[in-house]
Amino acid sequence: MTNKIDSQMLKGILYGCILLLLSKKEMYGYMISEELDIYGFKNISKGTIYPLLLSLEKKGLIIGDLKPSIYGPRRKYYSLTEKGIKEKQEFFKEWNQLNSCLTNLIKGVDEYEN
Amino acid sequence: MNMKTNKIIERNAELQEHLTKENKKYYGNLLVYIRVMSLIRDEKKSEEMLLEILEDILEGQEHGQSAEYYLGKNPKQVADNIIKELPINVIDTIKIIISSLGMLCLLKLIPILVSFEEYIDIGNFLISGVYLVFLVIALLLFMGYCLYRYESKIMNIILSLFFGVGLVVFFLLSFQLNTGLQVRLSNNLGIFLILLALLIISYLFNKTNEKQIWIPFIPPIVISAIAGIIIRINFFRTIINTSDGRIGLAIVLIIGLLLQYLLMWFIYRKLKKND
Repeated sequence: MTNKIDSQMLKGILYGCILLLLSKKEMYGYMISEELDIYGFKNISKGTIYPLLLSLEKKGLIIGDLKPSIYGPRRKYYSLTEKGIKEKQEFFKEWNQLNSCLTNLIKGVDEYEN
Repeated sequence: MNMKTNKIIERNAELQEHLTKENKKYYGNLLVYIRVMSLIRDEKKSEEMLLEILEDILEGQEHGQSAEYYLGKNPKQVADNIIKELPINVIDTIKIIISSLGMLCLLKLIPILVSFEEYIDIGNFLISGVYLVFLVIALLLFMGYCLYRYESKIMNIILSLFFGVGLVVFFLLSFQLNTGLQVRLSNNLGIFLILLALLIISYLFNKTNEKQIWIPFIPPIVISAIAGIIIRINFFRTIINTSDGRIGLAIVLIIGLLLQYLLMWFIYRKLKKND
């Protein structure tokens, strides 16, 4: 059960992470995984990215385009659509709210315990 | 992405050659699992995703990462999540049924058409046809079910048993079932059906990416089809419908089968060498 919650939570967070990363520049799957590593998501198996990319594309939040990569062969680069940009802002707002609520809660619990 | 589905599949096969042995096994299982478990889903979308993952695994490989490290220790879960996101596509589902009908032409229509029988049991043909379609789909889904549960050797044994039993039932059904829904097969109708069967088979052959496997079936099919057409032309029919003529026809058909086994043996050796 814990695992299930963990993976659901992770999915939600990664969903936002991909939107945030793609707002920086367009990227293909492996580039996204490298960026996630740089930001500390090292222990996450990158297999999680692909269903999320499909889901984001299906919802019209991102769009894939075949382009030559720096290594030569063509790769599918993803970028945000207008709808995706809005969704990213929404995620950013919600995350900040959630984050401050959680920080307050932890602080409150800490004070109570001490 | 404007690449055609078969081009994507070809490119995928080419790129797989660059995988390390360990990665090839990991990716190969993922590929088979996604292909068989997404039968009713959009084939192009699923092939695009498979190619994308392969390219990323190869890039990881260059950076010293194994496919298992990159995609995780639970490929089945990754694959299941991917499949869930693929849209359902009716046309691709129909394609599977057409492929099964191609098999039906191979197994049933051509042998009937080579015989001298003047009546064809339509009911039997339809029932065994529907059974075959279900058998093919059940076999593919069962293969997907076994893939991440059993070792490959055990899986091969289970699948061979499944397929063997399925085929025995098919032949029993074919030979024993008498529905009474019979149609007289005139010469012209017979020739038309043979040409139709050839058309379906060549369409499927043209579409398949694993032509090598199917090449051995060409001699018996072509010989059977020619024999089937010849016995429907009255002039030849009187010649062949003698005991010598029948023996001659049987010999020609056996040569076709021998050629098939010979080709199968050669191709099997060639494929093994390449591995």
